[in-house]
Amino acid sequence: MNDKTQSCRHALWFAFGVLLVSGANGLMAQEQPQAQADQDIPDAIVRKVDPSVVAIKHESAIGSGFIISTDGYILSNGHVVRGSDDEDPMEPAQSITVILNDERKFPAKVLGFCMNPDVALLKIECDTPLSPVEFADSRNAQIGQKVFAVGTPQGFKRTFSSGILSNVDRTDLGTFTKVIQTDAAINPGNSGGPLFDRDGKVLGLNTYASQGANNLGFTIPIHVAEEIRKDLMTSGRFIRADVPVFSVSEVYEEMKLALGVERGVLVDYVMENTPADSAGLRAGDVIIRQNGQPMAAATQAELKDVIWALTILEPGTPVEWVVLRKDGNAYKEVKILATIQEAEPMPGTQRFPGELKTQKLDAVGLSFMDIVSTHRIMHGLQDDPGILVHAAEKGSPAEMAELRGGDIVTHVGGLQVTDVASFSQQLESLLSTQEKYIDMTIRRRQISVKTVLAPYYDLMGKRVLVVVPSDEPRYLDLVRRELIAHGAMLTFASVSGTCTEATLKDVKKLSAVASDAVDLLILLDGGNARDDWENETLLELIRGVFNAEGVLAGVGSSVITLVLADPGLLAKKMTTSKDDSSEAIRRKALYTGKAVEQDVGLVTTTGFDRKTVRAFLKEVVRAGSGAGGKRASSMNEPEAAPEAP
Amino acid sequence: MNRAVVLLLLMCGAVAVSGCAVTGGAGADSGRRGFASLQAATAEAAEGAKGTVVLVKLKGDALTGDQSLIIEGGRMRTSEQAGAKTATGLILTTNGYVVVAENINPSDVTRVEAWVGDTEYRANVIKNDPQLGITVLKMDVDAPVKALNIATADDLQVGEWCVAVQPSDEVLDYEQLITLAVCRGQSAGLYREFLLDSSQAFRPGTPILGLSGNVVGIVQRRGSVLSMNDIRDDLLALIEEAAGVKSADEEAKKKAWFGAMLSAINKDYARKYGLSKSYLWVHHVVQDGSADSAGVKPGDLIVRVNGRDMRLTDQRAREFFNKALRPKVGQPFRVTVLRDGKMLDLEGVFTKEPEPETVLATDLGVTVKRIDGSDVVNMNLFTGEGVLVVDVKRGSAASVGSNMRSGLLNTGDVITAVDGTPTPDLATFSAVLEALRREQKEIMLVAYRRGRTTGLAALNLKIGEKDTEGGKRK
Repeated sequence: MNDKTQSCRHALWFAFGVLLVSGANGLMAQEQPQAQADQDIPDAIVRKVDPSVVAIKHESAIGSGFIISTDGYILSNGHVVRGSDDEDPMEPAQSITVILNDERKFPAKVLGFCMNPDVALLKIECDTPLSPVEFADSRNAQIGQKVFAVGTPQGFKRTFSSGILSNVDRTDLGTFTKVIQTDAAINPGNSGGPLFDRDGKVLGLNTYASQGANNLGFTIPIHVAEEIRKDLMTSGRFIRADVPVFSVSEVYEEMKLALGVERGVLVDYVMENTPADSAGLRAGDVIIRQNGQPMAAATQAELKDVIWALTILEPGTPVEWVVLRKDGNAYKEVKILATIQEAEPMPGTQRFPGELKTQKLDAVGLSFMDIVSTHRIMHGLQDDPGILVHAAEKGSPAEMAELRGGDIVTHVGGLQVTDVASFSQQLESLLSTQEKYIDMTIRRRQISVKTVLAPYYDLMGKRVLVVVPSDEPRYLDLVRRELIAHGAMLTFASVSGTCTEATLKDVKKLSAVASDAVDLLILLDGGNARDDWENETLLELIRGVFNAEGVLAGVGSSVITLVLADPGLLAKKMTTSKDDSSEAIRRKALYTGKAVEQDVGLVTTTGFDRKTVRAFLKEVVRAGSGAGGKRASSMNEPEAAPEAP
Repeated sequence: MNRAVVLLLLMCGAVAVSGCAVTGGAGADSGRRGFASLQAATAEAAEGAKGTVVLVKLKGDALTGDQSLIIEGGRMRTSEQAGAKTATGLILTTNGYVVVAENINPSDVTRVEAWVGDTEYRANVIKNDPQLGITVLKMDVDAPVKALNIATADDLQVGEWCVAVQPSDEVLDYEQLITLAVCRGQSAGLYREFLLDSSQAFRPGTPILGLSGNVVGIVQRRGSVLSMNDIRDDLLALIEEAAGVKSADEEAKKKAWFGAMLSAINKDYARKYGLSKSYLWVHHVVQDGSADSAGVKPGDLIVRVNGRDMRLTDQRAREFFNKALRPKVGQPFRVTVLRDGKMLDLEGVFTKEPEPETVLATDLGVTVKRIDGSDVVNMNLFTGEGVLVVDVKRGSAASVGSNMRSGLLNTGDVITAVDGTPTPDLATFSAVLEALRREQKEIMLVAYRRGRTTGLAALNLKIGEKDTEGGKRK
């Protein structure tokens, strides 16, 4: 169920900062122990809440949070802990640190987060019990009541600011629930921090502020956050309930008169062939009861509450609606029976990154995703099954094929595709045989377009060996997909000849691989990559490829193996994961610390995140497309011509 | 001399080259014969064009241009003079219509002289086409004059010889100036262009004749030669318009429509299936449009238009198509399409594009438009049964919703019913509103379609001014 609120157009920023202020700590005043008589917030309250509020910092942002249990659970905003992975919007940041009010620092684990409502749950491990906040009843928040915010605006830790509640029913921000509005100063960095009532109990999570305005701050009510926390704790994600797909609006004064009904919730739209449709719900129905209880909304605020009440039901719960439906000039009551199910993941919008993964294939410059019904509504897509093109990179085969964001690819190589899985499988099978031209049929709004994807196959004919650790190889799928799409002749091997990765069917034993059958050797990182550092078979293989002027590439820990193999390799610029950098330095490698390092015949990376690995692969392909060195050229050289007599 | 002679000549040449090593005497003999033919053909072609090439002298304050030709070591140069300009014209009709391959604005010209050999005619600039870069003049002639026959135009092949014919002037004092040239290349612009080994030296408007004596092209400003076969229709149309045989009915030109959505074929798709990269896909055909009545169907590939093979790629292929189509109400057109592997010739006549019809519903505060077949596709509408909101007046009943930042109705909505009565078209919509106005209703229930979704809006008709137009934002 959706409400029909138009996404509002005014600028709104998330109240988190991007490491703006360095050395700000030095400016902080020392704690004032003695209370003062005219203190707005009593000293006892300050001392009560101060240890519960934390600062949060990771590779790309700073924010705030607050402790909700003695054993280290912390609430914050989703946007504070979210990483910057453009393929998976639900990927948290890589290295999150929580800083307590006494300056103790802890690495934090994200147990789950949700972007709308914008809530995250983190956990730190601390030997001593922590000081949790108390929750206020945010349902009973009153306009005008005194409040204060605590957080890390612009990096200034433990900043208190005060004001009143300006509104408690704010609905026009385009958020999923109502939010509380306050005039207490909320600035970038306050995100995820608490808004306290005068008793020092949490009313909500400070989340947004209005840009270009003074003191328009917005706070997610704590009762909303608490519902989400429960889900994050048990499932690691917020499970929204729904009977897909219909939308509702409030029965406002004019609507009441126009329809001739007293109260209820108006059904605006029911999507064809969805559970809501088959349950018998129709556009124009007015829902008046849900499970025997009256259901009504005359304002947007009431509508948000009605929707929220449905959203937090358990999937599987039966629901019975009584609706008023026009029967001639009168209304009759109709009973609708449906079952609550889990809502589909939300697609991204301009403001919210959404929950849907984007699949990327750099080799052809295409990013794409599954189509959910919200996509079809948002972008006015037809009913055709397929995948949604997210973007086609400039100058890529996908752009040459004239694929555009918003296109639905319905057929690949003449076969119908229905989702990312079937699309990827079909595309991969054509790419793996280096098909020169791949047929595609596209649905673009109301027209159908036939086109052909002509991949570049930069590694066509190159024999690529990927050596994986025998357990939990990282980025295996990403590397495999890209290399296949580049037209590489791909072989996988591990020292033991096994790998825990189920999708990897055929893993050779390393000793069965001849170094002269490899143009490009890639070592992946993972569980036990360090165990292979001194493995003589692997070192021998690396030496062989190196001596034949093949290209060597490594991710994270495995880079150490590469440089150990030969003094010539030790003399090349390299990088490795942060954890292994001391090992690299100890072994006198030319460690540069870059995310991706490139020297003649050697490409290495920290393997920090997916983006880094993609940048690494780009370099590998560039180096590898010319690989083959001596051997390749000698293979191609014709037999020496007999000399002329 | 006809085309057969040229073919013979070329074949002789080929024999001469290949046969050379074997029998020297016979080869030399046939070479001499070939050369004699070439000379004869050149002279004959030049003779044929004699009297059809005009030296045009234009005077006017705004003009600057080439005043005269000076021959300097075999190359021609021009000198510039303000207030005057010379150009080369071609007589294309016996009653004295002349085309000049330059864009000359009639208002810039105060006096025009046209010299055909030693005969001077007074002339007027009648019409110019900036896009073509062509101007039409009319000479005052008492008796019919010799005209260049462009109906028999030939195509020049790369490597073929041709003759450029230039008018003389007082400075040069040649009766006629001819130059033998070789076609060095051909490029496919909107019109095909030939490059001659010396075309830079030829003034714009110089006719180029093939050795068959037929005209092949006309030199344009940049020194390349426009294919006469390609621009012939445009030239004749321009003369017709200038002569007033057909009125330059700009209105009729605008309103004629093909009524189809086209896009260029993907190049790799064309490569894979051995199709021309210039073909255009038909994606959508508007019901009852010109394309529809000709039998064009979605999925067709356009191969030829009005007898001309499709050329160029991407956006330029579409430009070529539009240009070659010459939409004019009542004019016939021909397109050849590839459908299910078969070529089909389709013929139709251009009809008038329906005028957009709108209604301003002041009490609601919206302007609505009749939905045309193309709107459904262009605006991605999910129904054609309704009226399209094209404007929502600020401050009106339709503009005030519960959210301060959006109204109850938006531009792009399709109103499908008012107070329960369907409004599938503009007439019904107006009639329904009229009936409701008589009832003096204060609230109107509007059912609409917004993209895929549907919705209901209850409009408070007490809101918003009804009398004044163009309300200002407060």
